[in-house]
Amino acid sequence: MAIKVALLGWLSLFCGALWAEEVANIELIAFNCFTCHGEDGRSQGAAPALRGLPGKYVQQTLEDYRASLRPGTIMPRIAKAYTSSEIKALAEYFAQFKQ
Amino acid sequence: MSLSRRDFLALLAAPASMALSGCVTIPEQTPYRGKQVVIIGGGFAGATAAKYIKRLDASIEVTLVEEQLSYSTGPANNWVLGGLRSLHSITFNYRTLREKHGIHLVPDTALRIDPVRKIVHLKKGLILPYERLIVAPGAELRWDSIDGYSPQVTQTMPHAWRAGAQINLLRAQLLSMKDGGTVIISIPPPPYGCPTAPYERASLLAHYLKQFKPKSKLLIFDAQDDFALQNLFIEGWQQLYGFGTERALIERIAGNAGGEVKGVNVSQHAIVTANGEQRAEVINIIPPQQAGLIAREQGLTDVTGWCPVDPLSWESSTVPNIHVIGDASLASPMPKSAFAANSQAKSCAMAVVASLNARAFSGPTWMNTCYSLLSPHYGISTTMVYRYRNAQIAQVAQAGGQTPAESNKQLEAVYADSWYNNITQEAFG
Ligand SMILES: Cc1cc2nc3c(=O)[nH]c(=O)nc-3n(C[C@H](O)[C@H](O)[C@H](O)COP(=O)(O)OP(=O)(O)OC[C@H]3O[C@@H](n4cnc5c(N)ncnc54)[C@H](O)[C@@H]3O)c2cc1C
Ligand code: HEC
Repeated sequence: MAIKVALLGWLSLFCGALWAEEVANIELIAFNCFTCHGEDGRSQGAAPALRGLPGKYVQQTLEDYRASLRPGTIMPRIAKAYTSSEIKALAEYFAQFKQ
Repeated sequence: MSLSRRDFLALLAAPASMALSGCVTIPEQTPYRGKQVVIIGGGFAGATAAKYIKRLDASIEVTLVEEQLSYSTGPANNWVLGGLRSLHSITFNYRTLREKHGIHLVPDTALRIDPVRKIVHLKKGLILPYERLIVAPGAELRWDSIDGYSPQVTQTMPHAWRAGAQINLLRAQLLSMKDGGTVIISIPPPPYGCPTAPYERASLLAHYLKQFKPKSKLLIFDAQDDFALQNLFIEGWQQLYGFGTERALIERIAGNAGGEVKGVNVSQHAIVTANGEQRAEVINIIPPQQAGLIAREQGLTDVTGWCPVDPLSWESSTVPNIHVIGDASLASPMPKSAFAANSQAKSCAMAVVASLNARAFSGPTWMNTCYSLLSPHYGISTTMVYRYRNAQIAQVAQAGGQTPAESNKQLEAVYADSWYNNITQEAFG
């Protein structure tokens, strides 16, 4: 619930301020991360669980993947799709889940 | 504190540029008949959509119509053929969707849609009213394009394209073949899901032959000249299966070398191409495909045989209040895949929930990844992120792509398995 409210905040903020730019739906991006990292970040396999990871860590990790500073089999290819503000919002999204 | 719903709507009502940039308010339908969503087809697309609609708004009544009691997945189907997994481990039922997520399950076939009265007629006579209908029947095999190939012939020349019994049949034929035999895989023109699946199949059948029948040969007869991740497959086949050498386990006849299978000669147990007939002990025909019957019969398809949609909501371009997702939809440049079906289901669920609550929905994005195993310890992938641009699905240019040459293939095989666990949990868990 807290997540939904926060996201609504996010969305409306975007809709108001940056409308000329294409604004992605953050919750929907996160839903797509679930496909590999597990629903709500609870992974059922070797891919790391994202649930409850510290926001700063996730943000920095994604920035590093994006800049090809951190190796990975697939994340460098995926992280390049997102802007810094999307990465920050995604990190906050996953940090909101309790471990 | 964040904004109230009213503030939110007011905010959204403001700029006129919004409709252009993809932020639309879908008006409530009249007459109002409650928040009822019916979904036809419980594959990756339909099952995931059902779960996400409930997740986003538990007050919506979601009814899932699925004609089969259990579902064997396309992904990992090749892993069963190669002996990496059991059929049981890739077969799911709908109990959790019903018991844990409150989704109404109707084990029946949807026969006809009445888009004016907004009802679906089922085979056993039940009639389901809907406010929004999601059609996700997947792809169907075509029997009109390979001369002599028919549902009966699949008993001797299996397609093994899903369907548990067909997988068991192909596997049994492989097990009983003598060492030194020939196996043929016939690959149709696109589209089919996943684009890499037939080549993964060839790899894992070769993996089996290498262990147990090393004097045998696998021939790929391919309607296509080139294929997805070709360079990575060839590199892997060279490393694992001697591709291109005299003792190659895999040989490929490309479309421009007469690789397209035009027919089958059942009595000779042979395939027919422009170059003549080729006999083999085991023949796996993967036929060309089209959208599921219900989509074709209801006028949801266009000349391509697939269903055009507006990707903002996945609403059909031909019939209002009906959304088409998964393999049945025309979603280019997204490929047909379980991952794409899952991704489309999530954005469609959001759009439908927003619409039923008279809320705006904007900024959909999607993703696809196809993992392929060339052996149990050798995985490769292709991935892409998509955004909604100019009312179309656009690839994000700087992102995605295939496994880099220097990547750790063993690790990708491990992550392929992990992906499979997570995507099936999302759909059925
Ligand atoms: C061998 C193989 C390997 C594959 N490998 C991969 C892979 O590695 N990665 C990947 O992402 N994808 C892969 N795929 C593709 C993937 O399986 C499909 O893209 C995916 O299943 C599409 O999902 P869907 O829900 O649209 O359709 P489907 O999964 O086909 O589901 C449709 C469902 O609708 C039901 N149905 C149809 N009509 C009706 C009706 N009228 N009434 C009631 N029910 C109905 C059917 O019974 C079925 O259960 C592979 C496919 C195959 C065959
Ligand atoms: C196709 C599967 C796939 C998708 C989709 C995916 N990831 Fe990943 N992710 C991985 C894998 C595999 C790793 C391990 C590193 C690697 O090999 O790239 C990983 C690693 C990570 C890590 C590092 C975790 C750690 O503890 O070090 C973060 C953070 C992450 N992903 C975030 C995301 C976010 C956010 C998304 C959605 C935008 C996402 N991932 C989508 C597969 C995926």
